[in-house]
Amino acid sequence: MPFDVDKLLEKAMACQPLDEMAIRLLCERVKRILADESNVKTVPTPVTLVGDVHGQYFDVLELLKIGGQVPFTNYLFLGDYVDRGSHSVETITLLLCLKLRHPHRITLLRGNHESRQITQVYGFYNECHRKYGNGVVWQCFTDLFDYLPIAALIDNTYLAVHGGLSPSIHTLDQIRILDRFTEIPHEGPLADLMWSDPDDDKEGFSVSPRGAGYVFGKDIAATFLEINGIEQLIRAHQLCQEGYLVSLGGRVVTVWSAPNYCYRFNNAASCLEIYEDRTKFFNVYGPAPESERAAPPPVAPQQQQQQQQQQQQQQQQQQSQQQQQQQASGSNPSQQSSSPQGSSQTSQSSWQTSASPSSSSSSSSGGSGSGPSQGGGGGGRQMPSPPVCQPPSASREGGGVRRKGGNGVGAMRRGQVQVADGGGGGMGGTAVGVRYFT
Amino acid sequence: MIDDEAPVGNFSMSGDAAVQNTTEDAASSKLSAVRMGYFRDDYLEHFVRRVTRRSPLINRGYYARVAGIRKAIDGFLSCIPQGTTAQIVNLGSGMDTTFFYVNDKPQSVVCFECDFPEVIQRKAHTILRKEPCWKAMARNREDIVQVPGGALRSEPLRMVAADMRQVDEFERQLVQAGFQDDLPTLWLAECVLVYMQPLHSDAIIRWAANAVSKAPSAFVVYEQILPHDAFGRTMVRNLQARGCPLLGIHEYPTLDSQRQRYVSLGFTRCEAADMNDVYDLHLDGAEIARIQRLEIFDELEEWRLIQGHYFIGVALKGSHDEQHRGSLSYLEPLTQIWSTPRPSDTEMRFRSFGSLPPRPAPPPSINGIVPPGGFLPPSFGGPVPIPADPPRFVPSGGMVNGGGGHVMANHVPPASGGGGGGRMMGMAHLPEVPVFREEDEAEEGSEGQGMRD
Repeated sequence: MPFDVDKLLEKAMACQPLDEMAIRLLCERVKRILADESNVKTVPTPVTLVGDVHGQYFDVLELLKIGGQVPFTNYLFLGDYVDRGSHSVETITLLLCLKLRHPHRITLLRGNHESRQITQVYGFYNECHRKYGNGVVWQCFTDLFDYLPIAALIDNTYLAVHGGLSPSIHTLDQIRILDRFTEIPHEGPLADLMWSDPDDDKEGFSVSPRGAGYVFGKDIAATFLEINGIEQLIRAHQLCQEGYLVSLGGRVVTVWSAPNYCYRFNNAASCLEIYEDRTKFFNVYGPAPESERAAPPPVAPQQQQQQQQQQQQQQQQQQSQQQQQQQASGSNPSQQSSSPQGSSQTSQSSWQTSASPSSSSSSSSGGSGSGPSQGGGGGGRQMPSPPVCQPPSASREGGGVRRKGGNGVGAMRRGQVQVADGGGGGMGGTAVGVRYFT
Repeated sequence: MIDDEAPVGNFSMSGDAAVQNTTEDAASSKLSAVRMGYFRDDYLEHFVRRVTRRSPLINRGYYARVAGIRKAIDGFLSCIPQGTTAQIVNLGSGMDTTFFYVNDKPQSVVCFECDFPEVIQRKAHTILRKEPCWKAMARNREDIVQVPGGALRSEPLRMVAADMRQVDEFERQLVQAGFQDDLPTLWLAECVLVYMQPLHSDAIIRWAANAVSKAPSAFVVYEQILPHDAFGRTMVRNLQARGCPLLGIHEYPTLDSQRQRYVSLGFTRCEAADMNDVYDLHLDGAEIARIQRLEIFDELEEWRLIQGHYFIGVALKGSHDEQHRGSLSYLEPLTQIWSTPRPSDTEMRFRSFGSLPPRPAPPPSINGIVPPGGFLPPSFGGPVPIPADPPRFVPSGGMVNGGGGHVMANHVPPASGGGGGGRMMGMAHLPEVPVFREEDEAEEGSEGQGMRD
């Protein structure tokens, strides 16, 4: 079976599952690319930095619409691609396909969730098991996670890392000579870089309530930046209601890119665009509209009847049209065009996006010779796009893909209503997992 | 495997059935915490149909809930004079095991468990089938009376099958079961009242405040608050979608309004604290340190947010005579339940990014003081000693060797025991807790099934 990365990318962009063999080959090839990347990868501006996405696949698609498609926009992802959201598999698959297809346009750093232990607790292992029937795919992914670089140096001016600083790390060279090709340890510099948090109220390093890494204060950040001659530390790892947060007197910036995190926080997301002249812009956005997520939201009974009637009418019209065509042309193609599954429920995005300078200006964050980035600037999308996202179960890959629930959304439990978002609860009439104390 | 996506039970129900179902989720989530070692409950497994493992957030949250309520119960029991029997009325008891918990205590307690007939029947059915359970009710099985409708009665435990919204009928049944108005009484409403219309829940509280005239009484409540912020709105919406809407939350949306509620309905005073304060300030520090080592916990923001939306209230009143004198009699110490924080040697506060109001500044961290056992990275093999002094970052001039060579990359600060940067964490380090597999789902209806590894 020929390995066609364009085909795989197309599938990944359409939320279609790849089979186990394809995943394995994908991981093998991306590992080869990553093996050549330094622990501290050099990344030039212009670039768009993306924080935690946590398996929120449709919000990643939204991000690509907001920030621009690869390769017209350069991206630097700060880690935490999996766990918590319900589409971790699709998310990491998409990112790896993009990496394979455009290795110099997208950088993927490692987050604390790119680890065997954490993914067994927070959902990625479960999801792989559900969607593939065994642990092989999970193992492929987690083996690949060992290869992800730890940090990125942007124009020698900004350091990007998932978590924060470490008491063992004073210079960038010390990061460079770490052995990163391993499972994230409990403690030590590798763990700290992916687990630490800044704190405005504290000085020095103190114990972290997360149980790994440390909490560091303004003095630490100031000294580190000065020693290494960099201007700012950009990281993710902590939820920001507004999508981003500037702390430690401007020395540390947190970017968070999972809108309405876990379907409960109602938070905004952002990506940080850094242009060639080193100006920065937080592009704030909200979640992708309901109509663009995997299955149409559940419809009320009256509307359902109306829809069914509409569908019947359409089918009748089509049949009569076909008959006319047959009579006219003499042939009889037996085409069954399925009636569009138009869900008439489109939800208005009611996102308050932060006031942003008119970035409909030309400044596109693509590489040289690129087209304008789509939909950038101005924050979140206001208009819901037309409905009809066909459930991806329409075409099934052979071999090894076991999907429950019909549309890859998540396992169907007996007695459970089909949900639009299988994981972590949902909005607007969808069933909720155990996320509250009742 | 963690399984949060499988709330037990049927989602197509609504109304009373869905509310009754909340006890199934609570019970199975509590059992998940028990199995992970958060707290001890030897009887719960009998009442849970399917064993699942919940996420660390859920486990820790139920631990905090159980620990907080047990603290209130223990506080109440410790106030009872020797030789006096106390009453505990568990409203909407569901599959709760409070009876078994207090039954082991030295104090003499009579428990009343009240819930819908369907729930009482299921519980009674289970108790009669499981020897450890009915043995707790009476030494001989014959001493347990089953009244028409299915409720069980014995000396220490009396079930009452009734719709509590019909207060008069409920009262009649309670009295028939042996409720007395001259014994110190603890009313317990754990995630119950909020599912009712305020008019019904207020009626129950008002009646409870007057039901015990010749002894002091206390009302312990745990439920949701703050429906108006982003998280609260989503919570309200989600639970509504699930069929068990929080009917009472808008009427009493804040801690203050809840305090005033109990006072206006007949109690003398009400001490209330949200679960962040309960967990951070009032639960036992050594216990907190112990349970925080049980699992990786990467949900801090969510933890802060969700715990801020739940509270425990303890409302108190004296007997009718003492009411006039404003006395709470021997229950007076309970007024301090949420007032005296434990010593702050455990620095656990975490500033959240988000919509919560600013918290008071935590006390300055005392360097080098670490609770016994230490805060440490998640460890499944056993406690790992961590540096007594968090390593200090020494400003320029101090750290980099004067000779110009850089410090060794994998250099670990000297005091760190237990291994430095490269310790592998493989599957061998997972806790020995049987995990839920989907095949187990196939067995619905069989109770108390064993776990397959």
